[in-house]
Amino acid sequence: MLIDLRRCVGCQSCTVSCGAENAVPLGNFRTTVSEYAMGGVPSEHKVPSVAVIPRLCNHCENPPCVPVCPVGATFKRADGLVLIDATTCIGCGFCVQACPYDARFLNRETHTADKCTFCAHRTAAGLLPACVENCVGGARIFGDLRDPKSAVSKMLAAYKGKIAVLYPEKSTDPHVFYLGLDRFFTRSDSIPQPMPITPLERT
Amino acid sequence: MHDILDLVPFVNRPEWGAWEPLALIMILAGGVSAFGAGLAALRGAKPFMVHVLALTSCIALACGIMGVFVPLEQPFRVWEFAAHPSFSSWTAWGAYILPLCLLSVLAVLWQSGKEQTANRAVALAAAALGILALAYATGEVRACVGRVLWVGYWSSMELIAAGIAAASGLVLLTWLRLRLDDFAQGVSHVAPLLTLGGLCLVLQMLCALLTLLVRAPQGYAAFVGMWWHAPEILSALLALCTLLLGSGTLGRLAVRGSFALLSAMLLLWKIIHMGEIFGRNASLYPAREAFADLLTLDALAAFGGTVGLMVVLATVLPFLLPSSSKAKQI
Repeated sequence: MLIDLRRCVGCQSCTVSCGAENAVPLGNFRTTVSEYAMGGVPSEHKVPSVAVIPRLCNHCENPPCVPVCPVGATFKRADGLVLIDATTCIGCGFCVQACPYDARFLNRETHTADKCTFCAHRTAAGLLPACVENCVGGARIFGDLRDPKSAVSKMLAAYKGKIAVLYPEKSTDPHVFYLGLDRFFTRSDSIPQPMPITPLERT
Repeated sequence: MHDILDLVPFVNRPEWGAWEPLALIMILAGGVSAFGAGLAALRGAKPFMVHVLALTSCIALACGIMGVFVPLEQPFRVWEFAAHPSFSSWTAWGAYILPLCLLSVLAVLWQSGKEQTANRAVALAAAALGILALAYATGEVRACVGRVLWVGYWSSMELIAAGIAAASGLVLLTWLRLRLDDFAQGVSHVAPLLTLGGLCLVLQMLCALLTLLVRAPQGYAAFVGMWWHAPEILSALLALCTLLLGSGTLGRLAVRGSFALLSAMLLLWKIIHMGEIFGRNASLYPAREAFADLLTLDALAAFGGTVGLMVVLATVLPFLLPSSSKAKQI
């Protein structure tokens, strides 16, 4: 998947459509859009702005969640999707801790680990993932990376050198690519200032 | 560098509660004492030394296994460990290492109580499985690469140091449980118990120092408040209390053992539980809340359950297993 951040308006329609499509429990998200206020840098002629970063499972080439699963419930499919076998998962939570992208959570309704599947049930039927289908700005582009004629392959070729991934230092080789990503967010230890109201107080 | 403010701080609440630090500290203490029991048996130490180390290991490992099992979302699927084990995971190895370690220390415990010469193979197995239990506990934590605080080699060293402190505290408590009368009469067990009490105090201070040395990852350091240092402050206060109380009576020695165990748990609490406050590329979860989780109902239930099982095992095992007159002498 390629996410063109120039087209993302941070409307969270991907978040909502994913929740509805996959019956994600309240308070958990398979995908969401982080939003940041960025101060200006006068020396670089940058004006204050708002940055948005849609986040989801990166379906990594080297997924750290797979080797930590003690019963092989998390696995990488031949087509590259990293999936969870909910009939085998024991809900130990190690994959949740191992994921550098915070893409996993323990689903308290199914009592198993849960995460984005790129809507495997929809793609099997020839449909696009719900978040891609519902993106109002057309920022999410989905396709088969092995097919040079797919929309995502064409975009990656067209913008070669301008594409970024999250946390390349983790050597996970992620398969969610970003176009227009601020350098600040490419490292996991680049920490934005917390809002004066903390997440706990919000709940 | 420009200022960046997190407008939608989707920071997941920590998924792990008190069970994980508790289970880890018990497994580490069990591993250290299993290694100690095996080594003592191999070196031909007094049967009582082997007996108390093996009993401590049994108690700690049983509590550790319970701590791993209880927080599973699907506890009735444990058979998957046998049906579909994935040996790229330390947890899968642990599912075999921990029961085998428990069985080997039970065998050592049985032999030490029956005045038999320790079987070298059994003693060697207990020592080796003790080391494997330590490798499992540290390897499992380091495999979670999403948690920056857990992945360094220093974290393994700190976990093992915490295990040694917890094991010394537990050995002291087990020894006191076995030799209540002897201590009151001022016979042979007094001197070694006082030495062990002194060791507990030193290890408690070491735990406070190691907890202080656990630093917030670079990017987060600027946003971490004083609550980040609450565990080492509590550990240092416990060490001060231990020092002021002295070790003259049975109760004070029991306090030394309990505080050594608690200080080791606080070190793990900081690394494991408070280590979860650092979201990935997101503003942090408050350190105050992560520390205060110590007093939530879930955490108190976990502590109560573990202490309850420890007391039950320390009471029941000496009755069920042979304990000869020779094994009572140090």
